Amino acid sequence: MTAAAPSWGEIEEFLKIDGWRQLPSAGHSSHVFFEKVLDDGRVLQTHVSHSRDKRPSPGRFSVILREQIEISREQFWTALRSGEAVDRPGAAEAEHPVEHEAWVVAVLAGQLHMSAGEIEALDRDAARRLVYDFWARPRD
Amino acid sequence: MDSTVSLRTHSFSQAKAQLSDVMSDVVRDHAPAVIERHGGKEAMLLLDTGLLESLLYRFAFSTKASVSDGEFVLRQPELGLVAGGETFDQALDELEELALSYAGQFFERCDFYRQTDRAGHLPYLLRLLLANSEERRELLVPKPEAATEST
Repeated sequence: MTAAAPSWGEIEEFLKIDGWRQLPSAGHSSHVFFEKVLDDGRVLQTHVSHSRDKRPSPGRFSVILREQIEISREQFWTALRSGEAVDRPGAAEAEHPVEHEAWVVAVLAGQLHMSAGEIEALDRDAARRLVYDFWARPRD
Repeated sequence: MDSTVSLRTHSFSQAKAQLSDVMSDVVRDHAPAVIERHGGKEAMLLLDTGLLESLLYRFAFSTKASVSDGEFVLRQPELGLVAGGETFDQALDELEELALSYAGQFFERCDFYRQTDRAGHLPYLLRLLLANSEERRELLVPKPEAATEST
């Protein structure tokens, strides 16, 4: 996955163009929540970091597009350039990172002390195999 | 059919006068109770939190994780949340914070969300709010049974 992700500030700009409403903050949070009610009555929610200049990773941005904003990467950039809201229903974001059950990554990072880069290189089967092999090792 | 027929029911004024006894029945005997006012037009259910937790047990979380450009990314499908961090623990910290913020917003406008496709989030959010921080992290990233047995 090589396509660059926008900054949190650009994502916030997009959300305003696309008619999302900023929600009042509930207590202390390092994020700002936005909400959009679609014509079919469904309620979408997403959030941006207060660190507007920082960027989420490309993989995280893909997940945000697919699961929360429900548009493609192309539609995102087109709206940001044109200043016009996306025609919905939007297209599905095609790119997505390899996903594991969270406990698998918790073991790889926390108990096998693998780096983010090492984990990123694993497919689902290889990741699980490493965890099962680790559990099968004799303990002192 | 009166749906509260088998539950202990108190009027508001009766419950207010005997609150200690009412609470003892609910908490010690694990007996749910209904409190009504305005002739039953408004009613609320009192439930022992332990009993509620057992009722919510089946609302399990199935959080997914990925890594992209050095960032750990957690996707929480039951609540529609996405969190990230430089380490897995930082991503989980953020997921917990987002879940609590969302819970605050949800219950602030519960009447609205109950009428939307987000109504199903309610039991998951209740389950998180009933837990302490350590329990909450284990709920969000549950161990598989094999791991529980091996540790």
